[in-house]
Amino acid sequence: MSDATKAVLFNAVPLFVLAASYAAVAVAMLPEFWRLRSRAHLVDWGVVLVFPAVAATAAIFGVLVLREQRAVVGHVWLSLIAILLAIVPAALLLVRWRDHGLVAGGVGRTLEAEERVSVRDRELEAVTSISEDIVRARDEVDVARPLVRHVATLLEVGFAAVTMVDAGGGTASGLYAESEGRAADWWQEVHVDLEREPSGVANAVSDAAPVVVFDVVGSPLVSRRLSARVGARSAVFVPMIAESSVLGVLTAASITDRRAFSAEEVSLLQAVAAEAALAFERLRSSAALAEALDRERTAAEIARRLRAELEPERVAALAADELRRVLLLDRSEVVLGGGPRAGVAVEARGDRVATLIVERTPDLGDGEVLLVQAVARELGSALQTARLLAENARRLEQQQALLHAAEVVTGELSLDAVLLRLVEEVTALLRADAADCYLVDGERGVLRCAAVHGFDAGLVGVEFVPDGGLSGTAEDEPRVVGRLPHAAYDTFALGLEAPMVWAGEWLGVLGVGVRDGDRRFDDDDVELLGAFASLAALALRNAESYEASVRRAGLERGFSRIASLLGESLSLAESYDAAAHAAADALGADFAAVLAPTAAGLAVAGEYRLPAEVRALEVPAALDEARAAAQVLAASQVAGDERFGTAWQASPVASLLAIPVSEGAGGVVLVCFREPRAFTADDLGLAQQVAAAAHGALERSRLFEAERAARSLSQQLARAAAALTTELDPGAVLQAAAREAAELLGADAALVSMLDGDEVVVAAAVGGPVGSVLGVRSASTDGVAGDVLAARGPIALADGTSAAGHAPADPLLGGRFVAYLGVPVARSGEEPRGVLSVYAREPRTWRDEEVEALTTLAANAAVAYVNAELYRHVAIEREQSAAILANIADGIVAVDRDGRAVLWNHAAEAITGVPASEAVGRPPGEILRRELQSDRETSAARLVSISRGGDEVWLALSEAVMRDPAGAVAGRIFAFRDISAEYAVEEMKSGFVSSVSLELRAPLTTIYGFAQTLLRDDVVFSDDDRRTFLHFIAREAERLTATVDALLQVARIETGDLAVSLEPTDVGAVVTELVASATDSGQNGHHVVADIAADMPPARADPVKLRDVLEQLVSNAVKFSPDGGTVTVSARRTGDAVELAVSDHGTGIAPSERERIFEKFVKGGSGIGRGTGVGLFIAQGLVREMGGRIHVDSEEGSGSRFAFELPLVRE
Amino acid sequence: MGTTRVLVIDDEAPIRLLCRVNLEAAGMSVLEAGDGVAGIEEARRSEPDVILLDVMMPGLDGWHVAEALLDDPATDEIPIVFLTARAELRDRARGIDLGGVDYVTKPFDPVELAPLVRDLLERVEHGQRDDLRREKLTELRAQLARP
Repeated sequence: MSDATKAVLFNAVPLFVLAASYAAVAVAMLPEFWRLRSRAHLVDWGVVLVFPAVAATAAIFGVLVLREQRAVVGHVWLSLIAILLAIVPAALLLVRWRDHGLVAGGVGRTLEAEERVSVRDRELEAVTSISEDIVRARDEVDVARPLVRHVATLLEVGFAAVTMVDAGGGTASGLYAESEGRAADWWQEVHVDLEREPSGVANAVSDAAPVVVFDVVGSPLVSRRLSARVGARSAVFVPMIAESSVLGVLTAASITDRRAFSAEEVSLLQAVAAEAALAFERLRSSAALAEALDRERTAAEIARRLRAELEPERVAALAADELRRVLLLDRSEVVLGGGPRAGVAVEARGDRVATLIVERTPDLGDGEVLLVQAVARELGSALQTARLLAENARRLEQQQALLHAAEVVTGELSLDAVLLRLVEEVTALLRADAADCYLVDGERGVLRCAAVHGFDAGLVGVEFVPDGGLSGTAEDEPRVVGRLPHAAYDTFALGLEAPMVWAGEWLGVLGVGVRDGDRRFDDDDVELLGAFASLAALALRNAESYEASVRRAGLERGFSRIASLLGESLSLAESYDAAAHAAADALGADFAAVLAPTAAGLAVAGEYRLPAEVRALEVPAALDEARAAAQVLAASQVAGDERFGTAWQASPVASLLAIPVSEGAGGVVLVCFREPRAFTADDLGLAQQVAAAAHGALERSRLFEAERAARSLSQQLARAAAALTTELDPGAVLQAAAREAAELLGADAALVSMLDGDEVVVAAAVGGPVGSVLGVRSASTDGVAGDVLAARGPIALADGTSAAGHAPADPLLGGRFVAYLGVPVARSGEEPRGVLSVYAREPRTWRDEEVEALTTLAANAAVAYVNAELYRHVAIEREQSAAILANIADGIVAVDRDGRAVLWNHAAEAITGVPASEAVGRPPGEILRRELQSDRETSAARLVSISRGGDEVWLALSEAVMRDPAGAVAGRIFAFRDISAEYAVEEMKSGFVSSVSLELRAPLTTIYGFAQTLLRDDVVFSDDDRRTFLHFIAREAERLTATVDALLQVARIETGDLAVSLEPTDVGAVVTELVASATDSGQNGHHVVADIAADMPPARADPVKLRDVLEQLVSNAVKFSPDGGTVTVSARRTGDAVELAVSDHGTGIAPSERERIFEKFVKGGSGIGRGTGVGLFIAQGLVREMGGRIHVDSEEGSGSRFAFELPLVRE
Repeated sequence: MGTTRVLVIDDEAPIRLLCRVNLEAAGMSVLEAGDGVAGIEEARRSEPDVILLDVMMPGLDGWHVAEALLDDPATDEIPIVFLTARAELRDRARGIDLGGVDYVTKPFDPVELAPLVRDLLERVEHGQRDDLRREKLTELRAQLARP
């Protein structure tokens, strides 16, 4: 393709397309732009003209290319790219054709829109600014000021104002205004009558919508006076609405020219007004809250002060004062008390207690009314509290008064004093004018006035019969009474009475009376009287108890006097006086007497303060009758009493009581009074008791008198009996009996005659010619004594001389003695042993008690006599027994039931070595350190060993048990003999038999054993063995023989058949030979040596026996010496004898054994060793037979030396 | 078990010989001691199977020897037979009381000695030592009760 073609195709054509597209756009926008050409901005013109200009330019270049056939400026492809790029904007516009209007005239519209937005912004700004200002407002003016200022600025008006609708809604008041930039203070004085005066404000309020007035001057809608003052030309009134109510009106007015207010301006004002309304509403709410808080605070403060007051009057005054002060009241008053009344009711617990009256001009606001109500409530509460406190105080006062009255009343004990106190105290307690006290008289069924205070004293003693009688009429509750039917009550208007009841018993009525007709008894009074009446009942009961106890004490004094009289040992006469005294005491009489019956009738036996003239009076018959009838005679008034004579009626006795002491023989107690006296049942009962007590006292006194006589006798008798029992000699007993009998009865003489077979012998005599009658015998049936014996009982003769026939037979009777009393001398229940007789020189009546006493004395004498005889008998027997026991050879020991020795005879002393003085009184077991008593009751003789000074003593003991009559062991008797010697012999014999048995068994064992061994046929023994066995048999047989020989020797020694052949013997040779043989036999290594003096003369001896003796001694020495010890056999001459001795250094012999070793069967040492214990016995026997004597020197532990001497051969 | 060894303690040589001859005839071996002290020493040294012990010996008597042997743990197991002339029952009872197992009163038949020892040992080995003593005491009591 050529460049030209290319230029046409790729430059020219695209250029034409470019031109076409831009032309199309321009054509499309032209009509729209034309329509908007008035508002088109110069920029809009530039923009719209771009399109046709580009189309024209492109068409021009296209033509050029066609013509030139050459690419634009020589570059086809670069031009094409530029063309295509230029097409893009037009293409885009064509594609979004709808919005082409924006391009055409867009700038103008944009400017318009911007203008609109700026107006809105100003409005918003104004509202925001106002909001910010008013949100910080403290009061309404603070709200109004920025509002007015902004409105003036925004609307460019000369005047702006805020007017607020008043609380009632009928008026409005100016709040704040600015005129030409300055605050118009006069506006605050403005008041608008919304209902009657036409004004823009009123219209805005009533319509609750903005009101726009173009021509203020000509408009009837606005207030002339205000518009004139403002100088307004045009004006707009916008209501400030919050929560559907119009709070006020915002006014804006032009003052220079008339002008119209656009809708935007009005709406702006509305927005601002709404904002302000909200602010005003907020301010109003917070103000209301503050007011309410303030009110509450004030109310609380007033309440605090009210509570501090305790008296109702002061509380009321304070409430009124406080309210007046706080609310600035014209009148503030509190009227106490209920009842309807104008004002605020003050209530406590639902009851109206006061009225609060408040007045003020102007009237109180709502908050103030609330405050008044709150104070009224507090006042009610405070008044209630004060009332309660006052009530408490009053009750306390009453209680204290009651307590005081009770103390006063109960402090008294006497009934009269209590009654007096009662009426006094109750009058004071109830602040009454008078009081009375009535007591129930149960017996008569009436109420009797007992005490009054303030009433006429004549009222005392007045009696009423209660309505319906006494029973069941006691009112439980105190009651108010009207006039009472007695003149004493006439001047009294009102009375209050209460029953006095104690423990369910109605005691009486206590009442008070008042003169004042206006006085009323309220509940407290009633309650107080009731309480006091209870206390009064207690006081009355106490007083009654006290009076009763006083009366009882008087009685008890009387009885105690009688009782003390009973306790004293008074004579009968004294007792009568005492009874009179006691009766007078008990009954409170002036004087008294006890009348006792005599043959001539009643006579004064005892008296107490009895006037002589009364004593002299004759006892009236009435008293005797009363005594006989055993009835108390009471005369309340003797004068004029017919039962008493004129003398009595004129006597000082004005009244009397005569009380029989007991029926029959008893007397009468007469109790007299100097005043007439009414005797009550109590008095009579008391009198009876006095009589009974007096009876006891008198009875007792009588008995006492009788007893005194008897006692005197019995005391004497007892003394006599004591005297009798001290005698142990029968004769002396009888003599004492006679003496005591005479003394006992005050007799002149006494005899004791004792039976002796068929005769009686005068054994003792006192008084009279004693010497001549003692020992006189007579037949036991003779005389008065015989009668006594026969009768076995007392015989009393007042005058024995008149009883003839007896006199000659009695030794004394009939002579100088005439009265006789004889009693048998006998132990009770036994035959008489004699007769005790007493005599009197004068005739004498023997009283019963005297007879009794003598009988008793005789019986005592009999007992004493028998005892004395018995004693004598026993004493003799005892002496005999003692003599026998003392001389008996056996030891006799008797012990009592306690086991203590009571008898320890001489033999016992000798045998035991214990003297009787030491042994008697102690248990023998303790003394002898050995119990004598056996377990068995009786036993045959036993062998018992005791120790006597270290020696053992063997006793043959027998024992007998003594029993008392009841069979109990009363003691034991031990009899014993010393059989130590026999026992020792027996022991030795037994030991000897045992020893011999051993001594024989040993060799026999050997002999028998070897014999048996040799006889064994199961063993073959060698010849040597057999020889040895036989040797042993032989040796032991020899030993056996020797033992038997020794025993024979003993027998011979004892029978004296020992035969010795004495011959001159060479003692030295015998010794030498013995020593040699002893050494040969090798005695266990002992050394046996001989020590023979030179020139030993021959001794007269039996050499064989001598050797036997020496052998025995050497054998012993070896036996008791240690192995290897030396035994020396010595021989020497001593004077005309030869002394042979065997000495060793062995064990020696104890001193206690030294004497016994030569006895037969006595073995030395422990006794265990070998031997029969006859060796030394035989040796001694042999030596003695040879005319010598053997003895031993020994020291225990260091050896012994046995020596004996043999006589020299006489030349 | 070896030869039975018997210790004879007696102060009399013939008695010792008598025992020796007869016990050896029965195959036993015999040890001898002439007094108590020697006997105790021998017993401790040779620990025989049986001891025949005389009572009546000078010096230490048989009772004391028995007490010493029975007090010594080395010898207290050895049975002791008292060999005594003391025939009283109280002496026999004393021997058993002290701890002896049997007693033989003199004079005795020596031929019976070996069977007695053998029988004794057999029972002791069977642990009947105390039974033996009880039997002996019962026997003694029966004899005492007999009038």
